[in-house]
Amino acid sequence: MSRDPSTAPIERVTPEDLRERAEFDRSTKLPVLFFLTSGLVWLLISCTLGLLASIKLHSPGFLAFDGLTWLNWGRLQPAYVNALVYGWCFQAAIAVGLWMMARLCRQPLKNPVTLVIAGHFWNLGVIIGVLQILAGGQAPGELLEFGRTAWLMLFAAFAIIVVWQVLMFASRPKGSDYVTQWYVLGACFWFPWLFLTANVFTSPRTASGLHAAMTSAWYANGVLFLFLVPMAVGTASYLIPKIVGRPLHSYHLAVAGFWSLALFGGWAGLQKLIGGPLPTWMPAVSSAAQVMLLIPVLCVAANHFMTVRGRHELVQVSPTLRFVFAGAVFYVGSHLLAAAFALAPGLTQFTAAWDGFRFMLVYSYFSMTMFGAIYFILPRLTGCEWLSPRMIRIHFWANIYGGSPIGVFLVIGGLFQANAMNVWSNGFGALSDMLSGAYIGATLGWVFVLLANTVFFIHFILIALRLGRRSEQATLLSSPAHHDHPQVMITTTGAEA
Amino acid sequence: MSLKSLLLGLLATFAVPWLVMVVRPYGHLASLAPVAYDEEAGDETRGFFPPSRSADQARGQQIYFQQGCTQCHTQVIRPQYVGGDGDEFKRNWGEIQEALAPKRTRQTSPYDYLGESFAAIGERRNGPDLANAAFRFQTRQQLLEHLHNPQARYDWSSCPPQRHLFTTRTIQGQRSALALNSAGKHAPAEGQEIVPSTEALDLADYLLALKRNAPLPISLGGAKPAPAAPAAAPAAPAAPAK
Repeated sequence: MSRDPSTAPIERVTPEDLRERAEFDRSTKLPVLFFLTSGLVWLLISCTLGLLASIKLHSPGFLAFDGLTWLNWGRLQPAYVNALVYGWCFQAAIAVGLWMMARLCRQPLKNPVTLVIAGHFWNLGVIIGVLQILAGGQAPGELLEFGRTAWLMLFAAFAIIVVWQVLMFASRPKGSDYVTQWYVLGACFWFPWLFLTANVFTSPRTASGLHAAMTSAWYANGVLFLFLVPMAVGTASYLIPKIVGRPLHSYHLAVAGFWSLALFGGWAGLQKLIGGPLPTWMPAVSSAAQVMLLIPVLCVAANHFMTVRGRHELVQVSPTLRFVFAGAVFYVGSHLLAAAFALAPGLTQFTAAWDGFRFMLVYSYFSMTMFGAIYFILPRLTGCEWLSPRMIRIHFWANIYGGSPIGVFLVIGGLFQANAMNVWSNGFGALSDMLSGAYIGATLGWVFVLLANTVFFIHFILIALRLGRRSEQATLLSSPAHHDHPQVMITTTGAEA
Repeated sequence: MSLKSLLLGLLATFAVPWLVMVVRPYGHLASLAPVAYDEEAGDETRGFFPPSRSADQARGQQIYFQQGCTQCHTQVIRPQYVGGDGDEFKRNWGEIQEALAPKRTRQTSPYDYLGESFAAIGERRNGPDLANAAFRFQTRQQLLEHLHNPQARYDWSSCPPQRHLFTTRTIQGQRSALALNSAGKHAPAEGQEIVPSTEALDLADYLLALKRNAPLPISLGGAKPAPAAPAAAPAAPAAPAK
């Protein structure tokens, strides 16, 4: 049977299919719940650290007691970023990736316990890394601050995940091909390579410290654009057709989106060091590549938009689609900012604007997409539905009103910061006064984000403990009844299943 | 798409940037070595560029990294085309603007980071650039007091104090020569003294060595010194330190 690969996840559902899916879900339940739960704990930890770091930017005296050296900003900031990226983002990506791959490759996950053991090592690595940063032992280099004790542990744990993903894909039955699989495998291909390269070339025994700094800039960009972005795009490409109940609009656009990301992703990153003491062609090439990364964005965004076209009211109804939709806005937004910063590096280099854009990509885009995926996956793993549409709404809106301002305030503040720094007669004292408004705004945003994720964590734990609603009907944000789409029956056994 | 074609495609698209952006530059950058100033070419300075670094500096830089100083401080002076700052960098761009002795600064060169295990270019400028930090402190004691209590010198500073690198102890016999002369809120109690740890001293020595004022040798593209107008201005302010 020749099946257009893009239609794979939504073909007509037979009872046989449902039994099969239930079997796949049973096999992935243990590792997926493990990675999600520990990831969410890290999310709460990093939100707390991020809030403290944000407060210290406008009130440096906050919690600055002699015994609390480990809360110095120089330690808090990398601790929060690394806990967010390696603790939460990676674990969410691993969990969602495993679940989607088992479904798409139509087979149960073999040896799930090994993956849970790998997950323990991953968490141990993150714990060691974060504690080391807070204790005053961070290593130099963005997203490499964990240092040398943690990285081998993280690498080994991730290698196990990669082996499982590749084996699942290699033994899939004929015809089970979908674009999400490429993105997951792409991320599994790029990250270990990036991580190994970065850690080898930033070894303290390197013959060139300058090269180490360059490699770390290349790596940090790679983690964002060659791991987090493909994982989130793959997830959205899986979820959107499922919920809308129709195949992905264009197979060719999906192919173009994937390969243009692969083509340009590896070149970007060094624009961060423009004006620095490295060969000038390198940041120039990176800047160009960063702008070219708008091509995959265009392909993916157009494809997803066309898939949902005419059914946009489902964003009101389905929690999953609403989170994915909000993420998509920041997907486009953060890429546009990255391209703009690459084109006008002097306006943003070394300022809070970069922190703002990174936050948008890592949190407002990637994390929101993962939240959407969790709303979809968890009821299927535990057999019970989300308890309260109100809690979902709080989670969503507090993230929108909290998460978006953090990115926006930091970007705008950063632009003012760069402008002020470039005027020689401005002292640094005037600079910190000027920025405190943006930083206070960001702190307020953090309060909302922490609130949102606390509510979500409680909700998540209740469902994970199987204390959710027993119902055939999925928890929706509003009733779909008044819409003119009788064919869209969002139930766990229907189109959304 | 089969696993094989997917892997081949990923390999082809990623290996090229990896080789070009990471592997190949390593060979070039690792081969950089100090360059001798050449009198015949017109260099006025003698010896090698950059000046050699001591082992203490490497230890101090380690502490600089571990404490997260790079999160807020950069060590790079960018060329004019970045920053929109015109030629402001020539006037000590990114520094604390204070009446200090005139000094010679220039755009940073790859050679300025020779001997470092990781170039401390830094992440962001929440604090001033430290490429030429050494010029801002007259004595090591002054710098140590700044590390102990940054707000004493600049009340607007958001720099976290590094008081964990110091110990307060009872004066035994004579007061230590290294003891801080802190006044105000962070002054030691009667009969007590605040002394820096080895780490604090290493960090201070590292910071006091941060001077990127050695002129670039002409062989590396350094500017030829203006032909000295004989006897016109014997003590020109821009004369390089001997």
